[in-house]
Amino acid sequence: MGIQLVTDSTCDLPQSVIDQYGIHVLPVMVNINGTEYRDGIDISREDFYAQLKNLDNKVGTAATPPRLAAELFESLPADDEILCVMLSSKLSATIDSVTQGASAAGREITMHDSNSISSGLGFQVVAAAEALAGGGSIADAISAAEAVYSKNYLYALLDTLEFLKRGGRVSGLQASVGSVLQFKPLLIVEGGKIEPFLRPRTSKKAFKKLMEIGEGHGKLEKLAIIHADAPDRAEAAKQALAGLVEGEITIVPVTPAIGVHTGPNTIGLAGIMK
Amino acid sequence: MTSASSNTTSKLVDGNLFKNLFRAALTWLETNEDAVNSQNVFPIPDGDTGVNMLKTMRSAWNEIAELNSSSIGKVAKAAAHGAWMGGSGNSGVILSQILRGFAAAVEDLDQMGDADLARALGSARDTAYRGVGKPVEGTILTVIKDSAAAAEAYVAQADGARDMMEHVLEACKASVQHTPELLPVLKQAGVVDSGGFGLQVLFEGIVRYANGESLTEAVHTSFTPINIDEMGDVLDIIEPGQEWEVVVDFRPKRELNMQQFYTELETMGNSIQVGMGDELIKMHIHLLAVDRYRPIEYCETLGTVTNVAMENLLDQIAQAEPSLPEITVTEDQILAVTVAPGKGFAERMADGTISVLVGGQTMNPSVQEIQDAFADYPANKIIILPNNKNIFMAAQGAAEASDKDVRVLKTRSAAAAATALLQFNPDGDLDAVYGDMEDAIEDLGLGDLTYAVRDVEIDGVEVKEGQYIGLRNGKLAISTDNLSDAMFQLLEAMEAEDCELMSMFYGKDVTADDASEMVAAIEGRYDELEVELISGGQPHYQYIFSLE
Repeated sequence: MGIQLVTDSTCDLPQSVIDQYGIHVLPVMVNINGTEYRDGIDISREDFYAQLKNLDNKVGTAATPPRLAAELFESLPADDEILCVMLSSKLSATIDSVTQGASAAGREITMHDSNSISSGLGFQVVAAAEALAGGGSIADAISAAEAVYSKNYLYALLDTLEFLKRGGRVSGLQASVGSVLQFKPLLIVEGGKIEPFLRPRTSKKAFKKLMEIGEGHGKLEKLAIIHADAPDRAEAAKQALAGLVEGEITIVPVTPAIGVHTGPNTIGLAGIMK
Repeated sequence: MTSASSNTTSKLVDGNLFKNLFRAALTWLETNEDAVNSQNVFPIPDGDTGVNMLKTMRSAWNEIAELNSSSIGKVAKAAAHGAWMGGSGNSGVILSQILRGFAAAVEDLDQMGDADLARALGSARDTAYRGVGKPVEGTILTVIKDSAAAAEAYVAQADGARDMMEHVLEACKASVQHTPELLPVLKQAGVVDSGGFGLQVLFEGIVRYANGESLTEAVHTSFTPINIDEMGDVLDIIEPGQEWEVVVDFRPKRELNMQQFYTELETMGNSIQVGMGDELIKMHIHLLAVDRYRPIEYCETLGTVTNVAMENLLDQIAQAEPSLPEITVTEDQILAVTVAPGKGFAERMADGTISVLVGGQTMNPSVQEIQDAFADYPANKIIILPNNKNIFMAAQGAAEASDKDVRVLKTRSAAAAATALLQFNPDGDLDAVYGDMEDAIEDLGLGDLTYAVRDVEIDGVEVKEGQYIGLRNGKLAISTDNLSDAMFQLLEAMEAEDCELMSMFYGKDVTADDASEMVAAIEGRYDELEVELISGGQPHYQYIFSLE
């Protein structure tokens, strides 16, 4: 009897890590002009960003359909336990949907809300996988994920608010001067929610501010620089923050389901503090 | 005003006489308001010293107008309180401190003699200096210092309060004349310090009253008609008692005695302007509704009236009022208070946690007005953005007078405030939010384009009246005859080629089309610069912008 670990496509983990731990990844759905794509499976990042930049295209996301979750659960050995570590329930209905899938498949699952997304979620999934690989229980895996969460931060710097507004994923950003003066939304993911953090006016200042924030948190165990179609900015951030971690800083292109909401030219920092 | 003092020795001043002297000082300042304004170093058409000192004096007078007390201590204390709450602009706030120091020294007195007056002026000087972070010599501070020193040195010889005051006035005048020697910017501009001169006018009013001289005929300025073509939108400063604007064109039957004409109009209203053209006279006046036909009838007695234009100013003001959202701030939140120079600014900056004070035509709100913008709301944490250097002191005064935790973010322009308010988070920690707002404007370039109201030369920039002038971070940078040239010269001075973003607020005298054309021209010249255009609605300033 083993323990199966399930997450969703917004964890932004590379295929090598997924293969290494045998993690199951459920896709959330990306919708472009009425056609549904399984995130990370049916559409490449290149195709996706090309379509995203055309503002006439109607793009959106949807939770993993219960059917897909049920199919996965049915395929897992009947006497294995299942632990799901998934993206924040405050950002997506995926947790509900996957829970319904489990119920349809007649499987017991343990659902853990990561309260995070992207590498913030990915770090927790890896911690849980490591705990399980070391012979730990589901409770041990959840503790490991929570330990990472307590030391984790996640910031994102967007080029424009347009995409986030379109997806309705953030509130309170559009009052007064915010509606007439342009700015580069610098956001923080906290308590499972996306909150406005700062509103630098120019990309140069915004980038500098993000680097200052990164440095302000001090030395890190791990740092991932996430980006949506902004490899050059990510590389520049990696250079700027090279001294913060002993190991390699990973550069993580975000999955289309996240890119839909951030828009292109977004970068972010996901760190685990010492 | 009749003289009260020729039948008294005026050696002692009690509460009633002090009140009359105070009114005399105020009246004389009203008479010489333009003369005081004309001493402003910057030839920009707002934030004038005369206007601010008058506002402060009127607020003081309102406290004592109905007060009947023979104790000078009581009357002076009330006047000082009124001045403090009404203190507008730096000169007004310092004036209120002078009054406060004066009042403290006479607090226990019913009557004031010459030695008391000397002591009170010394106290006024000390209080004024204490109230200013970094005292600058060559300003109203120096003038009160020299006046107080003269009084203190004269105590042994003085023959009563009136004699003392006459002596003080002479020292005060000399001190004002000396200010350009202490403050190079005054010398460059060919003026004396306007605040110091305002103080001299107040002292003069007191002495003139004591000597039974007129307080309504200005000696510092003489009336000169302006060219009819230049009248245009002459006066848009609207004060209490100005309900209608009337403009009458007429052809005089015979040559007019202009001084007499002007004096007659003064009995009807104020903000009088007279333009002369080819055999035609254009007269502009603001007056109460009941008097609005009087100037027309009067002009008919002088010649043939060819045109009359009348405008209801109260209605015009009501139309110009911005519609602002209700303040919904809670006890735990931070309330931001900002001064908007125009309707557009006000409407764009205001929200449930941002209280906007519309700067009105004279622009510089008083301590009381700033306090009123936050005092009654439940929030206990306040950040004030004054948006003008000349409002810093009043904002600081409002902060000090309040029990709430009030910070003043020293924004020099409404464009800076807009950028700072973008970072404003009412639910955050006061220190952190203040810090974020301060950071946001740290390296911000601020530009103002306006026109000069008189000739001047400052820092090597020569300005002719009516020219466009550009200010870089509050300092005169360029002047030229053409608005578009002025914009490009200013942008060059501000190194716009190194900037990414320009947020430009156009004033109420600029049309949206003209402003859009300006944006296209700027973006055409500077490839890397993105320009966002917002209607600011501010008077006098064609453009106010930030660059970063």
